[in-house]
Amino acid sequence: MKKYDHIVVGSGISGLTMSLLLAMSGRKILLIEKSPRIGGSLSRFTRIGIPFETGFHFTGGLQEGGILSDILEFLGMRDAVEPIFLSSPSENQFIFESAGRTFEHPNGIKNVIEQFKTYFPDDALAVDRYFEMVQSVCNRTPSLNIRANTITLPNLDEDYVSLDEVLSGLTSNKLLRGLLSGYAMCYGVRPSEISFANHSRMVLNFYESIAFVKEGGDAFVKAFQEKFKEYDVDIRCGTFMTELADIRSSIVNRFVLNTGEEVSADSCVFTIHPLDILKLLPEKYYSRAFASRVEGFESSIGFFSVFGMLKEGSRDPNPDASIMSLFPDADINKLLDPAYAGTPALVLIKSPNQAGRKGLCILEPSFVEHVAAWRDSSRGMRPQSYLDYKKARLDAIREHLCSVIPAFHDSLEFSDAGSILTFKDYLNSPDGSAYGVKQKLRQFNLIGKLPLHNLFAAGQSALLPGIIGAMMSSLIVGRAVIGKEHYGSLLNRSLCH
Amino acid sequence: MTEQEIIDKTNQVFEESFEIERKRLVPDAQIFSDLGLDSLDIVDLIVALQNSFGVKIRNEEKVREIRTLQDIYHFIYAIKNGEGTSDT
Repeated sequence: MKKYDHIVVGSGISGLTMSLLLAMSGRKILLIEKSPRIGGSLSRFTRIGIPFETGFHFTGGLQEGGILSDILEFLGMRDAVEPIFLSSPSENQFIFESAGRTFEHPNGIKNVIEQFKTYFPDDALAVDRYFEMVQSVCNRTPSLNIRANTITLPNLDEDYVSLDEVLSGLTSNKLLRGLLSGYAMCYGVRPSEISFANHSRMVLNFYESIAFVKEGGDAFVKAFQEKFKEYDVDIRCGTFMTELADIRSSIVNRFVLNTGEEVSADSCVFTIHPLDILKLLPEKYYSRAFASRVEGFESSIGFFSVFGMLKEGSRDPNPDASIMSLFPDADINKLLDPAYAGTPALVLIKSPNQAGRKGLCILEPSFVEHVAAWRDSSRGMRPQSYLDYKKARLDAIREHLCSVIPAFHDSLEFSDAGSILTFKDYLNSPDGSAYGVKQKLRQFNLIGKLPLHNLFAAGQSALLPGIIGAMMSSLIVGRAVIGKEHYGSLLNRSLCH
Repeated sequence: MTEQEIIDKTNQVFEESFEIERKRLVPDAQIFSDLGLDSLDIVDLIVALQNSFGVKIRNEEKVREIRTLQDIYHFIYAIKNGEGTSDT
């Protein structure tokens, strides 16, 4: 039986980060991935000769001193990830269609504050107060500090109040509340359900800077692959765990893989969906309370995603690298309600990686309820009604976009579309959601040690969604696995270079 | 809610969610040493109590001070009667 120090299950950004951190600490790592290749939603795919992103479109935190820059520096791959910053305010727009207003986002929180105050001069105090509160939460959050990150339960007052409640207390202006809630699209939870604290932790990075990455998610995957060679990490694709065996004193001694092989390891870190972790744990080792907590997690939003291009030589009023978010209603709660039947919100992303080819990606919030009828059908075998659903959504998206950008009428071409069932299939996710478990107010996530003592949970459902939340979850849990002294010395070594 | 109702409902959480026999659920029982919960169970306990009583419990000093079943009864009683900082 082959012996490892640690096994990491799942090779999305969290599993990649965890594997590298543990390998950097001198441990022998086995990384297993169910799909044929590593990277999860970071991996790009190609259609009509254009590379498209599966799940990583843009990020905050890549500015000098930003949290993602620090994480990459720590992992020794800062040079491998080249940010392409949005530089002009017009490159990141929120358009509130019912009010006929367009709001641009400059880079840097000070500039954002000034800009928003010019949009809402009567609410200048509310704008100031909101940004003060966002920054204050982040300054008091240890999990956002790579030097002192520990697993803590929600402990700020702002962890126990919703974004909606805070915004209602600050202003009666519904449009301003919509503007300040719009980034909910980037974490997939309604403003009435997310805590103000978690909202703040996720949006501060976007206010500071937004960047695409040269070669997109593939840049991260390649950088990790290089590092895995250097640190001799064993990677097995098409592989998943089927059984935890030989359990003594709440310690798992043998890990059985789908290939029939058995491996031993001191510990195992799961970066997969909490429900899939629960399925692996033998029932007698956890309480019913644990099971109900995990089973009670809801799904964040998913996206109906469209990949397309603009015909050669077509007129296009938007900059080559840009993000345009359309909100047909100022009430973001309504737009992120599965029962909402009006025109959906929509994000149009034009990545600089596709410049010249005029590729674009369109994301519309979607929910398991939208595809419930075909939930049990399998890929390639779905009935005509499902194809009709996709076609109807595509037609509606075309109409919506052309109403905002009339130049798209004769230039927009769609090459492919994915429903949340598509994401469920390709990413081995139980629900096809974009951000894992919905981060609800008063929820306690599954993070750190599991009921069997040499098993741990990390991943985007463990801490915060998105690339930063997923990577931070691995640094926090990894720090607990290798010990804070060892973690501290690794950090010093990396950041001193 | 009466004190007895709080005791019964709390005990029910321990019986049903943590599978602990009723006879062990005495007020003085230490939740860690006598009832066998570990620190990881505390989060599940908070969630189960929230659901059972329909209250919202904060992770605050008072939660961390809980040692016995009696402490939990008092804690819930305070929340239910508006004395706690946790809201209902």
